[in-house]
Amino acid sequence: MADNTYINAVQVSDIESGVLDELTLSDEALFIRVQREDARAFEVIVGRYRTRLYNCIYRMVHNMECAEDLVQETFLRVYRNRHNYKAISNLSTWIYTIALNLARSELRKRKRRQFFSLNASPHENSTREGIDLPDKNAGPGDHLEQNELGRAIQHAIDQLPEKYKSVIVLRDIEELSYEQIGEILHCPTGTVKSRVNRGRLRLQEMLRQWQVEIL
Amino acid sequence: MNCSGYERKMSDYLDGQLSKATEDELRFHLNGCPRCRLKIDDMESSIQAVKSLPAVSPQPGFDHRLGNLLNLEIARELYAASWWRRVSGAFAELGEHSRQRPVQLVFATSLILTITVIGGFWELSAPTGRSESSPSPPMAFSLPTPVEPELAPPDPISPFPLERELAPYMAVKPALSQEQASILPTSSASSLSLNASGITGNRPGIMTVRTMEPKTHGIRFVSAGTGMRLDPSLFSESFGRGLDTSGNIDQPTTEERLQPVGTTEFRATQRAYGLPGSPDTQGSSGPTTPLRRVRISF
Repeated sequence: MADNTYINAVQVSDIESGVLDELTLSDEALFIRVQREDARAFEVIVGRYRTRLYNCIYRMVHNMECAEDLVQETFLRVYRNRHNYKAISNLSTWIYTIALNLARSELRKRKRRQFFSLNASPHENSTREGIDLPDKNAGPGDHLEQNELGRAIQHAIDQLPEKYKSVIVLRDIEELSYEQIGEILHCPTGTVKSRVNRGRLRLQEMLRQWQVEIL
Repeated sequence: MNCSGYERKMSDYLDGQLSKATEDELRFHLNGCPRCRLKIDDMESSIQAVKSLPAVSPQPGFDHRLGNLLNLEIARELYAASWWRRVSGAFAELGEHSRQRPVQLVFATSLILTITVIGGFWELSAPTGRSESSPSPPMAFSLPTPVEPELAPPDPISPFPLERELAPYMAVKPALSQEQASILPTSSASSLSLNASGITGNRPGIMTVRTMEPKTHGIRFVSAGTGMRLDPSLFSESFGRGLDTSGNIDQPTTEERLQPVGTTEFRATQRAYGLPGSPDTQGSSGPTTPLRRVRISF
């Protein structure tokens, strides 16, 4: 009897303080509270998305510090542009769009840096057919992959072109729908399907090569 | 459809995105094509491998760092709120309550009070003794501050020394005539500088500025470093011949060295007492030694 009274009291206080509301409300309803300057609602949003975004961005950039910076920047931009969000669209799509744009910008920056560092030393590695650049950014997160297969998969994802990498991460790791990926990347669903298919075929080829090498 | 055509459908097949007819067609092809069968099995295993990657969580302290960043952002937003936004917000808030009669009364009263106060200040700041023929602004007297003790008036009750007492040190004799008035500039862009070469020690000097007509006009007195300058802005009267008109108020030494100390009007006959002054260089155009202190009485 006493236990029931206690539970009821807790539930009532939770309802009165809005805790249960925050836990059960949809993302969009919560974000309306954020737009009304409810800091607690934004904390709930961060709690819901922090791990998902971090995982997604880490798989894209394969660097823990960089991923953390990008996730923080994503949340800052979400907060900064909270009044630009229209409730007619999916909040997760909007947040993923911001995160993916940041991650893709980071990848393009790296590509430019690689290009200029190659141009700076044109005679190095000139006898080799393919230039295998050491991935300096891959180091800090490698311990996260518990086994060789995990490292091989992450390495294969790293090797994918950015347009295939994005759709593979969003589809196979984040398990988003084709339609949502299309909204995030601003491309038709057919294009997304095509890229997913090609990305998977490339991944499959690379993993097969890796299997041949270890055997 | 050939193998490459079916290859393009494999991903959709594994995701269950194909129509029933296309799925049946692909399944029929896979049963008869070991190469495509192997490929789709590889793809399926690679998808499972990617999905099996462990979820990576942020490092400890991530929430704390993010919280700090968000607090900074909130603070920045608070301080960056524009003036217009605040004002418009206030008006919007006022508009929400504007149907209430007390709010309307308070708003109307405050508006009237504001207009009255601004109008009162406007009237007070407007010049009263300005000549109608002179549209120029009132003159400002700028005396150097602080006044050194030895240069302070000897008698606080009677701060203006008698002219006869200071006669030996007079830099400018009060000998003015109508014809001398014509040589003096009347433009506010001109200035008069006191020649003080030959000054010995701290002997007090006196300059008497006398107008030809008892007419209201002004004079601005500015200090340029160790020197003094007289700027006869709105000058319609003449000064004595001991004054040199070579100075140019438009080119002061530096603006920050000017020390305005007050504004008033110059009426009828005025006297300017300077320390030290020299009577030896009246009207000279040679090198000038700037005065250090000048006191003006009127």
